[in-house]
Amino acid sequence: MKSGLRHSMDYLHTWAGVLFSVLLFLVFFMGTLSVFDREIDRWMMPDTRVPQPEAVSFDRIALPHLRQLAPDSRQWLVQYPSPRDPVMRVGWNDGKEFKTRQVDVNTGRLLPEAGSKGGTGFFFPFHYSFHIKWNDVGYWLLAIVSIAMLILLVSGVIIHKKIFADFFTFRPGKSTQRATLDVHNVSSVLLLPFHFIITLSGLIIFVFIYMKPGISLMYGSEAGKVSQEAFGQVIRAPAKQAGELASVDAMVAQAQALWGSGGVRRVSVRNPQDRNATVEIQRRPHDQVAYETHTVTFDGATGAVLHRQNVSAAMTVQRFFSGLHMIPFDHWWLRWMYFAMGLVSCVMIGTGLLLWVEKRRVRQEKEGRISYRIVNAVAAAGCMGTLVATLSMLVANKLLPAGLPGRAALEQWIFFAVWLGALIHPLARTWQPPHCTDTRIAWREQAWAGALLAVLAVAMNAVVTGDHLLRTLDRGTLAVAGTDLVLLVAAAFAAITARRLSARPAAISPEATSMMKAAA
Amino acid sequence: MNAMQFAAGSALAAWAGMAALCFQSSSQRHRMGLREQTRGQQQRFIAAGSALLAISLAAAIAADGVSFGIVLWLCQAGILGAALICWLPYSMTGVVTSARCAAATAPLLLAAGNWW
Repeated sequence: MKSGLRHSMDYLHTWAGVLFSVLLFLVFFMGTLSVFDREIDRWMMPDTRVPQPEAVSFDRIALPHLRQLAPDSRQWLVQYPSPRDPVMRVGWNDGKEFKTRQVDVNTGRLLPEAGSKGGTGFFFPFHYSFHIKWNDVGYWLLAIVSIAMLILLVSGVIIHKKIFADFFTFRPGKSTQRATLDVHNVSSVLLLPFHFIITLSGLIIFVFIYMKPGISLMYGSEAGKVSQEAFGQVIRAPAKQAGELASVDAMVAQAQALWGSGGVRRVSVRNPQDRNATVEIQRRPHDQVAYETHTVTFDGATGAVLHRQNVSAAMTVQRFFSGLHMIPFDHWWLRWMYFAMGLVSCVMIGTGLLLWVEKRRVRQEKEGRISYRIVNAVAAAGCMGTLVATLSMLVANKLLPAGLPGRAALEQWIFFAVWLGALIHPLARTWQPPHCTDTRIAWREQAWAGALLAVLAVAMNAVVTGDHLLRTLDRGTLAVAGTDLVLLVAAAFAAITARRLSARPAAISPEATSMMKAAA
Repeated sequence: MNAMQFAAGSALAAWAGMAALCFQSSSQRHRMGLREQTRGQQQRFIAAGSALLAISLAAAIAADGVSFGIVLWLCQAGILGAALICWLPYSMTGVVTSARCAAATAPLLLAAGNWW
């Protein structure tokens, strides 16, 4: 019975892995980049490399810009600067879409259009929606991929016969297949709590999207009320009479007195020009794991407190998992740990795909089948190709002229074009004799491309912005210096990988042959 | 109490703990050409590794509070364990020396952190 279960789980693990690995790699890779999305913004948007402001005033800095940019908007959102993000973001809904601009708080100057989506506008949304907005399809795809990940984790634990004995096993000197399996095991077992929690919390964050059918059933046409109730929001209908906004800075001071400590994350003003205006002030959750913002809502006209947020027990759990996933807190050591664990997760997924290919390569070649070559090409594009496309986007960010119309969208299209190229390349190599059986060629060439692009991105940043590594380190612009350093480390790893792939011939090892016979 | 010293002590204790657990594995010892352990020796290694990991957890909680401490410890033990296992085939001496140094330094750092 046990062996039957293990066999079934093995089957499930293998095929769920092949079907979902590329999407899983995308989610984990983009999530890993999103750990430092604000820092990537600094790198991709040089105008935002401004000093940390000492004091922030809504009335003096944000209000004049919002009155000028969005006088008729029904909602203004102002993201306050934080240690990771020195600029203020002012945003508004113009009836069709949500627009944002950035303000240098030190001078009060509205910064020019960034011309780039940056980490927060491209990599982060890619992580949770694949940039597919239509009918929430991206979110639902993410749900399917997350459930597949949970299935892979559980089935992976069940099929692992000697989980504790293999806990410490890594044999790089053995055959490629054995070494790949060891890396897959070590990366999955040692970080099992991370893999499990990060996947589960990812599902919990979007509970309101996944519960939409149930919510519609309960709330009918008033489905929007559920988030108001869950988050304790106060939304008043406009009085349709002109009103003057009281001092928001005074409301901020009042909210801070109620919190006892902590700064502001975001200020949201609804119906800003109306007598029924409301001002929501959120606390920045810098000192706790849970994503609790302790929102205080004020009457916009009088400045009186209307409501203090008090979330339910269920929402407290949701907020805790959201915080655990999204790292809103100030903890650099933990942030770097998340980044490293995200990379290890990518290694786990990549090695899983490689194992599938390596296990079938010999047998399929003898049988004259080629499905392993197609999976290998898709795996190369999904893993190494994603890296190459990301680095191409960073290089394009420095090469495209500032002020070019549609620059941000062009950057994004360059990513997708290179990615498509990264799929065509291994497919072309697959049918190119005499090397069509060598599965490593595409990986090696894309690894070299990645190494070159990473170095080029650092060099271009130095040439175009003048912020070379020595200067950024000297000035303490750590977001830019850190991104440059990570790019250089990535280049080194990509070059080492490419060299290793060149060094070892893809011969059929005796071990692989014996394993194949045993499997047969 | 010095939170930085506690955090550093926690990381060092986790490194030493993972090394102790790694070196109790008979298959790992066989691969590295180390002599076989008796059952008693193996249990002592497991006890030492577990104790060091428990100290690491306690130090992480003392440094960062319960929520942050547990999250930090889980991440730290996993990442440091993976780094140790991947380093081991390339330099057994390096791993052994660093683990011994970590085991010796961790209590000193924790004591210093408690003092100041």
